[in-house]
Amino acid sequence: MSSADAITGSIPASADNLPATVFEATAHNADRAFEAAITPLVPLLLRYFTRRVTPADDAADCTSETLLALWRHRSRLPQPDEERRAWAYGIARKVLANHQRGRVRRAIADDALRAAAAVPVAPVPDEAFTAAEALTLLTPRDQELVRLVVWEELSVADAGRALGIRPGTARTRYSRALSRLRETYAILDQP
Amino acid sequence: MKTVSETDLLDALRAADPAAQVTLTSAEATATVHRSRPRWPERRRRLIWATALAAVAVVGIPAGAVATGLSARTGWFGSPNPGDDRGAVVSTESDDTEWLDLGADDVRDVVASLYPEWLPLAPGVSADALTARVTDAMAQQNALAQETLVRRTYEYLAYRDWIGAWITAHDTGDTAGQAKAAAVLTDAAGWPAMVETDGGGVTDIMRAFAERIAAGDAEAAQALAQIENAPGWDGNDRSALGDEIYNTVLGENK
Repeated sequence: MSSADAITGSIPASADNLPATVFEATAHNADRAFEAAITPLVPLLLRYFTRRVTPADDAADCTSETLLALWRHRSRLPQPDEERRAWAYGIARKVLANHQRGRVRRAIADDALRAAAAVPVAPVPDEAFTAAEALTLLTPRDQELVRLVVWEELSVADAGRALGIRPGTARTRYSRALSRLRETYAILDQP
Repeated sequence: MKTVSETDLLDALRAADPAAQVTLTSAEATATVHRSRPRWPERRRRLIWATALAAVAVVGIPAGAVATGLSARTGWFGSPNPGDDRGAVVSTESDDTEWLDLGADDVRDVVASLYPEWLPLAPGVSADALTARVTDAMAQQNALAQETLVRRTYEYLAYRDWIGAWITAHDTGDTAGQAKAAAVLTDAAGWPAMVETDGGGVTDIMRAFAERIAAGDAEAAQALAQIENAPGWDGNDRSALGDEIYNTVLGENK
């Protein structure tokens, strides 16, 4: 039995006693708007997980899990694009934490996601390799803040929002993290 | 020791992006979103109103996955699944309440223990009778539900009773009964499980109907009774009015 079968296969027969066609129609319209709003987030989320999760199939599964979570929390979807991205990354972060605890379902992503996530990483120039090494020497918290700003292209404030920290704190932390990153890079870059 | 400018450092970091080559066409993204929707069978769609947009769900358990028959209280809390390593079984992110095994021997006791004492009951409805209806609706083999779903079912069935109570009061000229029922229907939009499970606009719609009903709009009451399969519906189709009310609340494009 697949997970989909499990979810749909054991429904209370007496559920017909429960609600409500108008709400179905409401849901239909709201769902279409929600689909349109989150579609641009899909490649962003896939890249987010590709940067943080291996193997690629796990990144695809985490993306699918995040989309499911977004559906479940869609009443909280922020309207402004930037806030929406930060919100989605905040949920992705929780899925990532679940993944690290082995609690993300396997094999739920579709083929398109898997294929996209499986693209080989291109060779990088030396300075990029050094920068990536330097990044790993920051604290995990600072690494994530820098990744969100540099790779996910969030503003520092939105990156802070995704991490659950206040904008002012995020700015201070980001500035400090960049200083450390530069120092570390310089050390690693010595001949 | 060489120093690097911030710009060069960030450029180097961008060049190190392991996902730089990961792309997805718009069509693929759209299809992925569409396929990612939680799936519900047609015969269950009525269960969806608050859950449709939201947060609580009954989920199936594969045969043998749970030792049904012991206690409904599984000890599993929260999301995204009932806290064990059978991750393929479910992933129904909801809230932090406990998952109940609806097939367990003591499920009726557990459902009864969740009866909300504060819940106003329509005239002629007893706590025992409501509990029995909720229990009948919930008790199932091989299914899990979170406590929130039980509490919502109590609230929902009571809400439906009050729709019928307003119609009865209206039809019999009981103005005090109408006022009482209208007040409860208004309050119902703020009942805790209704609010917790409102994934988007549901309580707003409840409030919109309640406002019309409080103003004496019997057509709105009938439209709501039709929608909710509540007592008192006269059998005439008023879906257009129901659509009009929810579109007024949510807008055509939502």
